[in-house]
Amino acid sequence: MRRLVTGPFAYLLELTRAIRQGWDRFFFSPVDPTPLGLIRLGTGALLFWSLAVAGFDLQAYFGKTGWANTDYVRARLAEQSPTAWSFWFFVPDNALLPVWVGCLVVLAFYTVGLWSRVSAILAWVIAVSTARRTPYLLYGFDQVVAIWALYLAASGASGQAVSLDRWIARFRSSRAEAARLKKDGKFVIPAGVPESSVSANLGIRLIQIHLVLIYGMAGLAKLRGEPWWDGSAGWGLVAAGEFRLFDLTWLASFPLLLQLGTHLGLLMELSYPIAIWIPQIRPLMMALVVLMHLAIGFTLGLVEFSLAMIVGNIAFASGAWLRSLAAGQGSGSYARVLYDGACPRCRASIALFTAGDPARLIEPIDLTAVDVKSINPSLTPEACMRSMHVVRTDGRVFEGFEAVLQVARCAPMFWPLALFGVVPGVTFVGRRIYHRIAASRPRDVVCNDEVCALPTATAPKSSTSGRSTDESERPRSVRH
Amino acid sequence: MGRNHSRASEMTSDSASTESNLPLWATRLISLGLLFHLTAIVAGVLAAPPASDLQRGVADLFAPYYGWIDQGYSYRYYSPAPPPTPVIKAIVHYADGRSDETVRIPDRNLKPRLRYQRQLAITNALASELGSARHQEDGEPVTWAWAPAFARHIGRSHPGAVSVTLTLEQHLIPDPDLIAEEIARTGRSIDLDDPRFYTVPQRIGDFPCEGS
Repeated sequence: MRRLVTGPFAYLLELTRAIRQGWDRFFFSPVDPTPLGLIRLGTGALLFWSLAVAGFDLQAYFGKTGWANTDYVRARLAEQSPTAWSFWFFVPDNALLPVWVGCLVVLAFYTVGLWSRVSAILAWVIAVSTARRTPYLLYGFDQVVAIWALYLAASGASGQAVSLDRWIARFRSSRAEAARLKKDGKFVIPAGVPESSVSANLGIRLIQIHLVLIYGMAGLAKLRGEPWWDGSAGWGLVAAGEFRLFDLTWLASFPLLLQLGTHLGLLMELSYPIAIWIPQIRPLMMALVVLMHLAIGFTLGLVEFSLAMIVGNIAFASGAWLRSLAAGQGSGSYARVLYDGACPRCRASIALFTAGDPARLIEPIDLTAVDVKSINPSLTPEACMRSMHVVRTDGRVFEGFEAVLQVARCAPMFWPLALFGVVPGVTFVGRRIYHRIAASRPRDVVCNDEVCALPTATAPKSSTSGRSTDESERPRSVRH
Repeated sequence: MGRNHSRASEMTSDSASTESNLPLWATRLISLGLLFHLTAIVAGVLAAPPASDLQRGVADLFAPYYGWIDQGYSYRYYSPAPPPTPVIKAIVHYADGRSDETVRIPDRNLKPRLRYQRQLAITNALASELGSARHQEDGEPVTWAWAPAFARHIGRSHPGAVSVTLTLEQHLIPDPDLIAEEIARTGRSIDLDDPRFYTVPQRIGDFPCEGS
């Protein structure tokens, strides 16, 4: 009899403990912030695009003489939702343009991840304010990007990866490293993998849960409609005259195909809330989701909405896998870069590239501190002093502008430069510019007296640049 | 199986490597915030019609929060069925003898496409308003929210306009059998803009442009 009371009680205690532990594990484990960084990039680009397009109709959307008078919208909103707010209510018509430009600048900063914590909050403020000022212009896209913006701002983790903030921090660290002379001429590149954090996990988890609610609710609500049961709903989507991008009415001749599409779409939405949590099924689910949204984008012309949903689904991708898409699966260096370590401009340049090389494919080597023939027998100190050289792992050697393009290929941030180099004529012009800059580059003042060598007076002097080497590393600046 | 599992995990989700470094009080505080927020979001999702009094009542508790963070949506896209699309025809009247001008919203010439989507949202807002007006009791004067504002804006965009008559029609989804038969018979589909796929325009009202 006693066990009838203690048994359930013990069970409830155990259940409570298990739920608490599961909750903590789910929300408070540090994870890779890369997916969140990519979601910020996508959300920012979409918000920027949306507001930029609004610029065509600035007065019509936000002005007193627009589709709806500012005071009227404000009064209506105050009546329906007293806590709702929007800064657009306080912007006079003659200030719309500068405020719009200011918002675009903020969204650009947000997209590239500059001053991320502040710009994420401001981006969310812009998204909500714009939605509140123009409630008659909204559709699913605005709801979805506002959600992602909310979680990116609330987590404070949107700039922890794939951001200029992180690149700047890595650049500073790289510059400091490059300024230190080492015996083997190499410097340690800052870690490429962003540090896992609880704040990133909170942002990712909230987006994941919201995605589950969106798909689950969209699927459940469709069960009320006969067209989703008899398979005719798919036709309703491809034959909606006001939405079509292409004429897909020929699909009327293939009713079974339309029915299959309808049933698969509904099945996907209904199963998503459960299937997406199962590791083996998750990649398949994500692929289906991307396909479904691409189909929505192309049939209904809801490109922005589809992209916003795809961007949100990045929350279910692994950071390591996402990074491998940019950096490849390989490990170790791909290109050894011989640069003039006695040239401040060269040190800054190599720091610039290494900061944008999270996979550490670049191995920078200060040519003034090594025997270049030990790197590759075909190299000579004179040639290396004339221009930067890259020695790839396959043994191929590149110099000057071609070497710059090779280095750019290793750093995702500089891929546009590498692509630009493919354009005919760019290499021709690039070579000339490069050699002009290289020939006139400043170098560290030769240290050949007791005064400049004071801080490191006990160290021997280098014959190449007058820089001192020592067992310990020391800042180069002491030699100036 | 285990190997496949690990490959799938490589592609999706990062497994946590270490425990949280947050102090206990912080995790408890954040947990309370998460519970509040997630309850609010779920309540908002469930409160859209058809919903029980309980579901609506719970969502009402969070109304100030929804207002503040711009949430509380229901995400019931294309349910219960893909609907026909409302189209506004605005007839602009001039006092100087010019003949009436008809403006179609959404305007298909708008580029980029997002501007067209925005105008589709305008037509939906007006259709929703018309639907609410239909539910008003007989004899009760209709209080339009957006219609006069939209009409005034259209009037302002056409200098010299004195009034704008708003009408709304539905662009219907054609019967797939009809299209299939046409394709089988002629080898060509029917244009979705064929007049037979539009309902008879419903007059919303005539709205003066003066004093706007």
